[in-house]
Amino acid sequence: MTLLAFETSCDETSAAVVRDGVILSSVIASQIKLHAEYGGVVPELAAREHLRNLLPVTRAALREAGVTASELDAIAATQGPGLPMALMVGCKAAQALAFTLRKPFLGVNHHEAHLYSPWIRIAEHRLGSTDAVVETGRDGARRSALVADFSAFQPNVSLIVSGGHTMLVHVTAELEHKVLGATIDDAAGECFDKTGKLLGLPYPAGPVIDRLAADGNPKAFDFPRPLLNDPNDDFSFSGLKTSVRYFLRDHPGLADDPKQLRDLCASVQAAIVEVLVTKTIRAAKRLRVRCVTASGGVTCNRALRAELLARCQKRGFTLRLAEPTLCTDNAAMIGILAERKLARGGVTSLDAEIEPGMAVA
Amino acid sequence: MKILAFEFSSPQRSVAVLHADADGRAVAAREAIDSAPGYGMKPLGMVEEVLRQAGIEREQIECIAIGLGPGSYTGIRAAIALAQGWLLGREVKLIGVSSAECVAAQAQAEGLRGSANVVIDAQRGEFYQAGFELNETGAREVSPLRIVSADEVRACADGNLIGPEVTKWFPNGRVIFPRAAMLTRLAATRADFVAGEKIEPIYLRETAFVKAPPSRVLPPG
Repeated sequence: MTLLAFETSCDETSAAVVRDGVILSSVIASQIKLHAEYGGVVPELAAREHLRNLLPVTRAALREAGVTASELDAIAATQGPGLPMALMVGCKAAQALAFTLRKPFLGVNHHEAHLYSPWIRIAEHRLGSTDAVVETGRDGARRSALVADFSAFQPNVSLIVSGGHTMLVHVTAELEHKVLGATIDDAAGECFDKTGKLLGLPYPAGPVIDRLAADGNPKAFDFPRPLLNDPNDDFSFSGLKTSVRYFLRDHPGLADDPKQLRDLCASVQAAIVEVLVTKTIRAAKRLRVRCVTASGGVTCNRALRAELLARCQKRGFTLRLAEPTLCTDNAAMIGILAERKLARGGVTSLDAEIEPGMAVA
Repeated sequence: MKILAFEFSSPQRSVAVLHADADGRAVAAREAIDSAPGYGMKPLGMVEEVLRQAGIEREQIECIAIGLGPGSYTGIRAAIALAQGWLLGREVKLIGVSSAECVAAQAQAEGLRGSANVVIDAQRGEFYQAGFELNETGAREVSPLRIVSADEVRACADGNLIGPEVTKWFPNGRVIFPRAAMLTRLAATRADFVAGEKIEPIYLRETAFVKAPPSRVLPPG
């Protein structure tokens, strides 16, 4: 099956071509520079930009995959959750394309796509049934491709953590999952960004805090670990952000010192990471799974990756982290999930509405 | 020329198809109108219906006309996205038409004559307004679209006030919706086709979003 997928749930316009579990192309037009000026995503600007980017991005994805529209077997798009106007651009375009080609359309839950993205790996992939083939880039260099491999699937607890969402999910089998808990206020990535704003760091602050924290002392300042010991799988990060605000009020000028700034970033990051990792490992132990996965933009954070790895190794858990290129919003993960759902008979109406508040089913 | 049109800028959303011969005469024309409240819409179901009624296959569509507003950004952007998706699958020409022009042409077609001011809700107590002169041959724009206050709309009450929801604010107005069928007729007379990535709603209001203060100079490393 050759499938074209769209992802426009927030500030990335992305299109990808997937064939039988292999990502043939994945093109992303990021709007980060546009929104950085405003210190966060401006939904109105995002919608305008998606309309400008959708066609060039999609044409590039088809071109890179060496596929024409007439060769597509199915179309997919993120149906929710996300910004309404942004979602609508990708979803309506996908539905119209499916209509003109007389092919099936599948609306995909963005979180579910993240949930299964750790099972996409860089690997040599097979074309047909015989030869192992490594993709050859335009420059002639031999490259491996991103390939979905569910053969090693095992029940797991999955952490989805990004600028918009933080949730823990129990995945009992492929496409069988149940949300254990989620943030009751700010997402972890939101906490990084809002802390960065308080510190006067550029948007998006997550990668900047990650970099500054690398040379800082995570124990220099003590920040709260919200809900860490609560007997549930929910998260809360707005209080942590507020405690940073009060800390800066009580220590004016502290962040102007480069060493103190690094220590502050490391300390805030340590608080966020400890909550995320502790609650994830605790859920895995309680549910007696031997595998932990993590995905979403914050999974790019080096401290989070390192701490998850250390704690999983200590417990003897298998850890699967989404590839960094699949952590941020991308259509490739939408396409991979759509392909697997379509193979099981899933299909969505061509006039299905977007669902900005779509819950994980 | 076989033209498909989406007009979603007002609460009355419509889809139409026109098959015009080389002389511009209609061989087949069909329209589907959805006046259900809210933003829920079934545009492709409507497309399927008008194509079936007109005896035209989707693969035969050569041009898509889009009502660019001003009006509901949700509806207009849905129409543009649908057209862009169509364009990815089939080679079609795209043409954008002012929904105000469409209202004026619709009024002319319904027999209204003389000066007419198209009035469309611009939110925040303001209105989009454009002036037209309607005669036996058509609707001629005499003052271009601009954003005005309610008082400014009342100040030009010597002409007919027309628009999709005009009587909500101006009881002496006449409700006339932009219609997709009219869009197809207007598009049939034009050749100012646009590239899919260039087509956008009519934006008259300047964007004014609060900018973040400059960030601090980051330490090296």
